[in-house]
Amino acid sequence: MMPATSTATTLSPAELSYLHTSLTQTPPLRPDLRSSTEFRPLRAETDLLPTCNGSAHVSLTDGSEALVGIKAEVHRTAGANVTKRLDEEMREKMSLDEPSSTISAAAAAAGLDSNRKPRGHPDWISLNVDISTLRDDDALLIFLSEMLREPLLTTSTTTTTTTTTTTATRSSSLADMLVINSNWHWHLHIDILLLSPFTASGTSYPLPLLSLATHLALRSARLPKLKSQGEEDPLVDDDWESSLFLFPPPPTSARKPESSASGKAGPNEQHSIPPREAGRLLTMPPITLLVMTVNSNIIFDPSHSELAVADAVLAVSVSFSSDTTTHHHHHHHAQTPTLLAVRTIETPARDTMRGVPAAGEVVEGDLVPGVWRPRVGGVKREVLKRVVRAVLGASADDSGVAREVFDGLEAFLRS
Amino acid sequence: MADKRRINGPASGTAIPIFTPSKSGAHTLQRTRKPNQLRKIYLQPGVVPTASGSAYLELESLCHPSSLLNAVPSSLKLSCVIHGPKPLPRNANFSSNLQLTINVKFAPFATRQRRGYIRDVTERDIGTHVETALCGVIVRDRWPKSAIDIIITILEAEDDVQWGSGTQQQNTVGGLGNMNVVSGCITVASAALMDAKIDCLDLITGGVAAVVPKDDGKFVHHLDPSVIEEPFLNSACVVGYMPARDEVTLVWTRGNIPSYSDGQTCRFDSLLDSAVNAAKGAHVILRQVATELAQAESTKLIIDESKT
Repeated sequence: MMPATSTATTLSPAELSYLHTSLTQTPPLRPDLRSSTEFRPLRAETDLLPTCNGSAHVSLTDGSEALVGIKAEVHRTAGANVTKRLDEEMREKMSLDEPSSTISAAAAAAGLDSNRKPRGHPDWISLNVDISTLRDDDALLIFLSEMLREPLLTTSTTTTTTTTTTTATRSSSLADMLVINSNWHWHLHIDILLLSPFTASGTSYPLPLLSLATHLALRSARLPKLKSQGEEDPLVDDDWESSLFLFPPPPTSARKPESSASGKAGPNEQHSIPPREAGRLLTMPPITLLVMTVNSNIIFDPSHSELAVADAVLAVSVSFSSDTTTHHHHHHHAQTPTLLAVRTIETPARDTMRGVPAAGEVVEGDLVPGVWRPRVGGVKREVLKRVVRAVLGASADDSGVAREVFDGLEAFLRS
Repeated sequence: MADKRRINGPASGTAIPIFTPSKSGAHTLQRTRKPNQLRKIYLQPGVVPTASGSAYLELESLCHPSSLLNAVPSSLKLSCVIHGPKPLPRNANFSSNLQLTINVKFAPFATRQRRGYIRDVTERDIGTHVETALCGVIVRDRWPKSAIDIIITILEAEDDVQWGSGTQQQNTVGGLGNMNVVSGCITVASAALMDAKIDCLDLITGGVAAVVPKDDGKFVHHLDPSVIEEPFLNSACVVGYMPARDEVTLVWTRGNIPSYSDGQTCRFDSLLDSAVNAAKGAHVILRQVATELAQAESTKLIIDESKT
């Protein structure tokens, strides 16, 4: 076995030590003089592939660029007839018996009651990442695609304490949005392509780029409008103009003062909620942010050289959901961030060469300041908690970094 | 990727059985353990004499009173073998650190759904998580130009999602089964590293915790949750934890964790602490195993000395 290529770094121990010292300052001194929460500028365009339901092209300043295409196909739901028949039988049986106490509120909340719309299945979303310089079975490729797929499949649930003692839990996942009726569903193919050449020792970790591109492609994805209703076989409107967004843009509320000035208010609101989404939970596709920690410093969107000295590298996936029924807060905090996934990524700093002091070798364990030692051990729990707090925001008034990123993307999509 | 070297069974030869929902509405076991009680752990190091280090881990299988076909509780049975440290091959690049190769493989019969012989995406993903957890604990610069192979075979595992739940009732968080596997892999690999006498910073153990919604709208943290007992999950977390240093080398959470929820404490914080507590529970067993190993070593040493 060769040393893992994905962790190889070309920096010398002296360079690593210099980087580490500057990143541990308060505030951290980054090589490109960004602040610790500042992201690299990016260029993006959406809806550029004419044969896709949604697409996005994102490029970063370091020359890496990614292209994402989303295609939707109508598929027949496997076993639909059987489950439907069984459901009906069961409902008859259950209604005859007295209401069983074992069906808890939690069970009902998670969608066990069969009167509901059928739930989606995770298999209806296939995600494929292609990096031209990597083998198909490369561990990095698999880890990346799992990292991007995992938050997409997670059901985002909001718990709202209603007048009754029970908690009304409404859940919707991307897969649930793909249901047409009990026999048919949309199948979503998300194909992610890293266009720029990728070398483990020379380019930055492509996760944030791929995640942003996927987010933008999903936001731009539109499904043709259905002409068929209910349990009919799907028939779609061939007019692309009348197609519906998979993720409808959030309604512009009080945060846009010009909407009232232009006289467009109430029912004439431009971004009106489509009827199928009314009263439901609007969820945005997830964004995955790359965060690294050095000592007690938290650094967002690390470049390749910064990653080489990280104590821990984390991928934090966040989604935003807004409740369309409760609009009591008409400022943009009505959209609450939800943490969907946190993953630790192996830091390249563990597999580096240690520096030798000018005075010669020292006893193991003795730390000479300014001489690089490969990182060993993990991180304290407190640091991890601080990372999550920095991403999500510590309280309702203090918005986190995820909110900034999301607002930036929102502004781009509206322009 | 098709496996062309072996004659495999048909890839999609049989139809998936669809189970009628039972009348009680739940084909799951009721959790009888306390929320903070782990399943019993059996851990035995040194099971493979030819390897430089090995260990076997088994979790208590849950007894189940009903005879429902789709609620057969499977437990976790893992075997870990370590080969090395051995020199890197001549054609490999120079490396001043010990190189780890982690190979996690489900036996074809480990889960309900048959696994193929070639490692699939899930197995590689689990392997990456375990590698992240173990890389932080091994003192790698003590073995320049060498490598170890850690091979973990999963003989029995829980299914990733509840079997037979169909499309209608799916677990809100899939992947709990995989998280249990990751946690078990970390603990068993730690015992095998100890058996192979490879220098580590600490005895690392894995721990899983999950947030389970209750009828009264509250949320309870269950340590060491089992797929079959938890039909409704809010979120789950697995950690690789080093108790002596109070440090975490691996965190993997899934599910949705609202940001600033009840009581101003982020739910991530308490979930992480619960998972760490589960890891501390497993650590008790690992420490016991370490003591027994050390005692066996010292008696062997005394016998050797008396012979000479």
